[in-house]
Amino acid sequence: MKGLGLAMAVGGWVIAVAGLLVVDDTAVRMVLALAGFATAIAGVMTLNRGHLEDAPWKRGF
Amino acid sequence: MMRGDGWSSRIAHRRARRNVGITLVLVALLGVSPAALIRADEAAPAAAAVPITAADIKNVPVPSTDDLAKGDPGGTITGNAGDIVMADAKAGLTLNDVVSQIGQNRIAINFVWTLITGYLVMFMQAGFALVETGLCRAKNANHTMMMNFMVYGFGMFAYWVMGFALQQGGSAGVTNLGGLQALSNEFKISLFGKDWGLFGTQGFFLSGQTYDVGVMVMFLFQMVFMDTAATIVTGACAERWKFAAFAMSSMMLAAIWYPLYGNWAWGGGWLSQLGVNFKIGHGYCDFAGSGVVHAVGGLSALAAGMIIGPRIGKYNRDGSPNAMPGHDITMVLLGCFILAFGWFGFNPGSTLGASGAGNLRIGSIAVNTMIAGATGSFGAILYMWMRFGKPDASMSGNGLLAGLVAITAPSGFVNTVGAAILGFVAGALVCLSVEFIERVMKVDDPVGAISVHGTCGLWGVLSLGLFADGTSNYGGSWNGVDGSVTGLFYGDAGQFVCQLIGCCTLVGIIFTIAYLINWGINIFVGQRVSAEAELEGLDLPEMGALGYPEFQLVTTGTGRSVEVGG
Repeated sequence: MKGLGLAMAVGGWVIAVAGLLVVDDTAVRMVLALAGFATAIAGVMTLNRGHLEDAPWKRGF
Repeated sequence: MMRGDGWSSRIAHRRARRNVGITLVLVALLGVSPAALIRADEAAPAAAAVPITAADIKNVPVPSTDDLAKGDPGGTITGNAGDIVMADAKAGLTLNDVVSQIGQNRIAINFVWTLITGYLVMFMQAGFALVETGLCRAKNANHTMMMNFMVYGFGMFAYWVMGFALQQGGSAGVTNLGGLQALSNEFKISLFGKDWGLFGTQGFFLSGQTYDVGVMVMFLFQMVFMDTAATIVTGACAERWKFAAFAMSSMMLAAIWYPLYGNWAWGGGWLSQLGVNFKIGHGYCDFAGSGVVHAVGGLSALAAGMIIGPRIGKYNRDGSPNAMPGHDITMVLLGCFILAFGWFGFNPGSTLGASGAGNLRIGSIAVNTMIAGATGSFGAILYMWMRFGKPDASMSGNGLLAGLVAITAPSGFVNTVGAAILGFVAGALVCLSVEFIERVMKVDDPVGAISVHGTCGLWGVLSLGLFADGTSNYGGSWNGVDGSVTGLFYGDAGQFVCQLIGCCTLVGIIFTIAYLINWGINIFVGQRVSAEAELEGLDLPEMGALGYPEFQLVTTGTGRSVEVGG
């Protein structure tokens, strides 16, 4: 889960930068940049969920 | 009713007056227009420049020593041609001396401006220390203060060794500070037909050719910015961070991932060159560091906070959070004021000068900063008042800081209306973010650093791409692209795309690097103190001395401490 999260975070960046390389239209670049940002944020959330799976407070700390 | 002769004569008279009027207008137009053209033609050539000769320079009167010895209470004769530095005193004052002095005066003004604003930013360390310590429990006061105190030295050392070189090693061309030509090596890779600047390779230990007066000014200014990012992490990880792990993590931030993003944004790296390479906006823009400083700090805090875990007693078994209020709200708000004061150095100082190339915009930048901070506190206080029925003091302080963080990137490019709006949004956003991070993500952040600096830092980066109004002019171009930085609301959607890519880089790359390095520190050193030390309070186990030795602190087993008068 943590590895997936980190991969998604990096993948979001790849999507955004790839938009610059494959298209010239500003609107399409914006859509890809937004998609990349959302993917990166989702990656951070996924990483965090991995940490919550074995959170100390679940064991009473 | 029939019209009589009186009516006809009145009509004829009116027509005659109309015809005279038309005639007069035509004469005026015909008379004026050629005259106007002639005057325009006559006005077109500029007045011929009068050359200044060496003889003119020599003939400039200079007050005598006797005159100066009489005293100058009005300041009318102090500062004159006799104060110009002469290259050759025997040859006397020359035109070369005068022209050189003008150039040096401009650079000297810019040096003094940059240094003094840098000193203001350094003083923000005191503000951060007060805010963080006030929001923590009394049993951790010494430890929290010491983290903020020592991050100055740890961070500065690592930055001097290698961080500054990585960040600014290839940033030659800063004309405000004399050019900085000594910083002339940027490591680039060529991909897809474009050059991607990754990091600098000049300036390690500020030695060799970088032992330069301009480079020294640049180092001081950039260093205090870096330290702001480093100190942010100490707030999120307070009350359970091992001091040795803090030291290592801070030095890694200063040496590695802060300078990397700093190079990409400010050092001529690939992010700043998006406009040149891909014809989109002016590339990633970040006037004073909502992204470079605050988002880097906030996202690093998030990474470290995830790894370290929450304080003992912060969350119940069902995941519901417990409030752990700080011990001194007066300290918190005083710290916020000190930060607001220091921000007058942070944003206006980022012009790196007060003379030439649009630098007189420093007043506008300072006012934008002030207004965004104020509306940030409004946004937070309104949200808290409506949501919880009370104007919460600590969130009001965080709202002020949120507005200041958010205006940091766009401060040089927006007007006061834009500043007010984005500041207000930041104030409300920080409250929402604090709740989200605490209740949904369940990441424990004693001071709200992740929300203030991470969330609102990202908002600041994006808001530049929305609110930049296209009126700024810092020498006719920015990041190598002619024209003024303009946001989506003023007609340039491409700028917003650049800012989005900057945010993706922060979340996707910088957060990941910060997470992996802190994960490594956790493996080899251990990030967190023992449970016993945490329950006792970190002051004695980690620092060997209590912050408040005259008070007997009693822990209640759930992590809450109660002061008992000693």
